[in-house]
Amino acid sequence: MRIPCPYCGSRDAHEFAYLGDATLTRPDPAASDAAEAFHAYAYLRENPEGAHREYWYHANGCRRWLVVTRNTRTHEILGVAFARPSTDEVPA
Amino acid sequence: MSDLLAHVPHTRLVPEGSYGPEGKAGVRARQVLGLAVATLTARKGKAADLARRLCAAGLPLVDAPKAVSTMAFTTIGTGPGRWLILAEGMTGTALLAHLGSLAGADATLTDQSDANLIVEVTGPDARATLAKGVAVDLHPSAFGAGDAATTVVSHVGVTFWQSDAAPAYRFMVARSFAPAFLRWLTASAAEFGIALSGTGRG
Ligand SMILES: [Zn+2]
Repeated sequence: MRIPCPYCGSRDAHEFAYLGDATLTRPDPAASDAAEAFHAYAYLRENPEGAHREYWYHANGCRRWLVVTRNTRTHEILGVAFARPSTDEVPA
Repeated sequence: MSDLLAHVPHTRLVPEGSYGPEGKAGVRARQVLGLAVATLTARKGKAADLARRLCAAGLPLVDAPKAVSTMAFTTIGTGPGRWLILAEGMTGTALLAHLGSLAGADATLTDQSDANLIVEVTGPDARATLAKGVAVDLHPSAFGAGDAATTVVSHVGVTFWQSDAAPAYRFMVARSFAPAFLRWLTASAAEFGIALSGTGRG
């Protein structure tokens, strides 16, 4: 499997570290159901078939976090973006 | 081929010399010495400003995996807003002072002159050798002079760039990993014959 990094270009998957589900949002710790919400946030995972948004860290490359949309059945990469869009733009 | 490097301690650089079939040198590799190296990282929101200012001062910064050379400097993109700066005939201290005067508070700088070993790989079989461990497409249609990549070769992290269309490639490897990298390079190039220089006599 190869991942097209927005900075580095097409790279072998073994250059990246996998974190997992990028669709989760950190719960509000002040909410009345915070304990339950954090349990779900930390431990409960869907196992979706098809397109899935995931965090991948380009450890052996540009060292940026990416959000990769991957088909979990075929490993086809449907989209890649920096997890935190840069505020910097450098003229070519 | 298993005893090719049997006499070389794993902790030492592969000594200069010829390896592989006698009288053949499809690959030449040499340690490049005398370069000052620094990392330059733009502070948040400052990359565009910094690049503009440094370009005007003769230090071209391109925010991409590219190696750009002027008479005095080579800059290599290693990540968004992050570069390696190489300078010939200058100490690391002088390079840092020069970069500091240009970048001011818009960048963080570290002297890396002692941190790395730089190996230049050339020769008609350079590409065939590198194909054994570099998982980046080096075909001229995909990677040419001025292209750079930060990646991993035989489990060793490297930044490399093509310094000439001939082709010539320069690999920068953390010094403590250099013996392992040179073993990989020597073993991979041995079928073509490799002439290695600049690494001492072992
Ligand atoms: Zn990358």
